Amino acid sequence: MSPNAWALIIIAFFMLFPLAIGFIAKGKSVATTEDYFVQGRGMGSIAVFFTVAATWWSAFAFLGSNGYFYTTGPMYWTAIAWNILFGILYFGVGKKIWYMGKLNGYITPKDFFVHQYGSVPLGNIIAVIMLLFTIPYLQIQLTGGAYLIQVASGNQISFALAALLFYVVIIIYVWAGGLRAVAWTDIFYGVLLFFGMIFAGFYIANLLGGPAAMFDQLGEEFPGHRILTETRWMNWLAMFIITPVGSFMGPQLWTRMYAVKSGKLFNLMPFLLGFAAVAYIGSALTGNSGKLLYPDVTTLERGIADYILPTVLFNHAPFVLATTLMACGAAAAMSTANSQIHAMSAGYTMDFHKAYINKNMSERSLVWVGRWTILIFSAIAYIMALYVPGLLVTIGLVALGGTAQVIVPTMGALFWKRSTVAGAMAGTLTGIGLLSLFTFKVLTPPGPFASGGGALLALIVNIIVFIVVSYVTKPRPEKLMNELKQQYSDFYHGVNM
Amino acid sequence: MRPDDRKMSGKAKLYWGLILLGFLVMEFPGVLFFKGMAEPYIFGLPFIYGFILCCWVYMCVVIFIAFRDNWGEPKEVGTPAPQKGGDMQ
Repeated sequence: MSPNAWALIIIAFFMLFPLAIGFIAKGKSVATTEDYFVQGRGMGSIAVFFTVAATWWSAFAFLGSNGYFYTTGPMYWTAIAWNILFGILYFGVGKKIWYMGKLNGYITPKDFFVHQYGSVPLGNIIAVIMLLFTIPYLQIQLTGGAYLIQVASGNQISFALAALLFYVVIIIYVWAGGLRAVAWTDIFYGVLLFFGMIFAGFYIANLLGGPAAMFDQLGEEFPGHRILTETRWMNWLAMFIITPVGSFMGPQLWTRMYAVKSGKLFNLMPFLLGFAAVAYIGSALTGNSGKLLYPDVTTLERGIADYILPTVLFNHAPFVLATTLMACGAAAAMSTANSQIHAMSAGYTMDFHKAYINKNMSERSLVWVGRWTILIFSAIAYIMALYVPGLLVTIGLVALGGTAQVIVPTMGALFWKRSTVAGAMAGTLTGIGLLSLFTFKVLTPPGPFASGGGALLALIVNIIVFIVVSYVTKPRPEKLMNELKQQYSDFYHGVNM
Repeated sequence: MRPDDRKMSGKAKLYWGLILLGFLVMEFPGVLFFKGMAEPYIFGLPFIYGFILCCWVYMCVVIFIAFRDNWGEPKEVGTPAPQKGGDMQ
């Protein structure tokens, strides 16, 4: 059998397997919004870990990380710390969100803000920010995943067709099985992603005599590639904060807090997610080995650093192995994209359609609205993937910078009695406004923030505005605060945990 | 919004302090000290890679001990909530 035929068989398997899981999941589904969007709050521990990890790790991690090691040396190594921070956030903040969600029946992030602050406008602002900034992040999953399918097929499948196939598969199983299908397929994707990253890195480093020999050679040929350049420490720090916080505040992760069955799992997640960071060793080996094998970026596929992994594999590994590893990368993209599409669908359906278009819709009808919404958001991301170019990490950081701003009102609600609606609105809008000005280059971040710290500066200003405005505006109503005080007291005393 | 009768215990403060220390070393101000260091190599890796890997081991150990000790908090002894049927345990 020809290598191309093998490639198509492998791709077909990676496409059909999640479809099968999706249809099995459909068999357990109930036609209610709570089941479709948060799996009836009954997600078990194995599914939670894998769906959180696979959703958190995306094309950004599988392709973008290699490209970043290739272009900037150890810059992406800050990911080790941000993975740990993500786990800490999931425990320290996520567990409280989960508890409040369970007590008060939240389904979307907006529900949390509307209840905790007693303000529908604040909830709407947050919901719009989440939708707007999740779309570019969704776009990079599609771009990365489609490209991997294209190269894995030996260019028998075009980029546009690969992107279409990618989304058709996701749409079918998310349509059929909702969050349950997404979580179950994420177990499959998560395992592939973890081992795929590590295996690819060691395989490629061994082409140069192993990791130690490769780094020795790197020291001789590109000594500056082993350190951070003088001004890039801010980038190191900004990525450490913005990436996990932005991802954690994405609607797809809120869903994964609400859906958890038992609070005990949150206690273990920092260790599991922190330990899983070891997979970045694979990316470090791939990117640095790639620098030695292909020092000139124009010799890579498409001349883009993100494609160092496929370039090396298809030139130095057996075709079937390369195709399989590319399919693992597509799994990384798919596992994030499916979750984002599903969460955005939940956001639109519950926060806007049910709230403003048809308040009296039946549960079954709302699930159908959610399904059609999946089609619309997928189409937007598909068009963006075809026509909006950019490096995966660059686009991803803008998207994460936006959702990261939501952490301020979230922490305010959970940890600070004096936080107010006006403070939350003013801080969030200031942060988003500043981020937009930096992104569209209307303003340049000052001082050290000029080296990749724009989103971090926006977050710091957001915090300051939030605190100052909260202090000078009217506190939340006493009745609401008494209700919340009782609920937080129950949380700390382990009631209904 | 922690209630007054559930102040953070000394052990919990210790765990969070050790985790914060790890982040300070790995990130800021730590990065200002190691940003330009390629040597000495650690485990055959340039300094930044080897050093951060050592910090990762430290963090994993601290976090695992904290988990085993319920993060320094009293065990949750509250009334269990009625559970709906979950799946994929």
